[in-house]
Amino acid sequence: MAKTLTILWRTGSMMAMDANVAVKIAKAAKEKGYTVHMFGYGEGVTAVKKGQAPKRFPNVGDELEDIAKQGVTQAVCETCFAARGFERGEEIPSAKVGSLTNDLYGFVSKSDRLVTIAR
Amino acid sequence: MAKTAFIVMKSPQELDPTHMVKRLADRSDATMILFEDGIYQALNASAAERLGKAVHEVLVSGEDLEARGFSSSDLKTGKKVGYPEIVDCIMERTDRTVTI
Amino acid sequence: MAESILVLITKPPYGLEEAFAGLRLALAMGVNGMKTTVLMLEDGVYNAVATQKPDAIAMPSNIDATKDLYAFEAPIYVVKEDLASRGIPESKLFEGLKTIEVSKIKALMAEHDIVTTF
Repeated sequence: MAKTLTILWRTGSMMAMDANVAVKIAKAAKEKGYTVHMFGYGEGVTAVKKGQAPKRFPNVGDELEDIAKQGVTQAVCETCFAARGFERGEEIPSAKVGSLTNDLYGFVSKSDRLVTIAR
Repeated sequence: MAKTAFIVMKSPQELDPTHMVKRLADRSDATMILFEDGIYQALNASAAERLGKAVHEVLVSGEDLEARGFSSSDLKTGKKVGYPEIVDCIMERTDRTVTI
Repeated sequence: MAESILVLITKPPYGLEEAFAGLRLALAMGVNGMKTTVLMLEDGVYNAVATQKPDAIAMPSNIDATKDLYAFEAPIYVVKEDLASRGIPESKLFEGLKTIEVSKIKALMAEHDIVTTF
């Protein structure tokens, strides 16, 4: 059975390229046949906000939606999402607004590796 | 001992990652993966020398290196790699990752 | 499959959300029965100071967030040398914490499947 990777990212969508790096690791791992989960925590949740429109920078929301089509599952921390004024339904369709206790634990407990992308 | 891949995304002016690496792993069990401004760790001579004493292998994100105007020939330590090789390191050649 | 996690807390309390977030993540793992250990090191040892008064800046308490882990038998270690280098005597720590020498960290790492850093 293919190994499983969880990527925990905690940096915001525009404050650094961290979320984009997380996506690139996920994409490369998926292409190699691994199962890949991603969880956005803290400021990381901003990467799943629907309707991001960075004019000249990579759109990490679109990147996440693209790799979801390849089977990369995505969830973010609901408390962190609400803390930033986002409501359910404001997330990109590929991401679940979930929790550490259910979603992150679910990912991590099935994973062989955890990669943390944070400052 | 289990092998550890250390992930660094900060320049040597921001962070000397070797202090933490030495506490967490022996050199022979430690690899470092450099992303974003972390690539400067492998370009700066004194930072690269420190890395060489703390880890036995340094992988430098090729696209982050190129984006900043540098190439393999500029590296003082380590080798330029793509994401597939980074994933191999994380999933197959090491047992765990630690982000610093 | 990961059956255990080591959460490294390297950041001090209150200025950044990192330490609190790390403690909450540890709680979420511990609640589910995963073997969970927290290691406070570097500036993370400031989270161990007993006299914190987060009310002064209307912040939630990192002491309470740490103690929430006690119910799940998640040990919380604080690095002795990092306390000493910051001039914090062990008598200043709140109850329930364990101190650990730097030389023991590699062995602690070896007891866990995965590691995350805050």
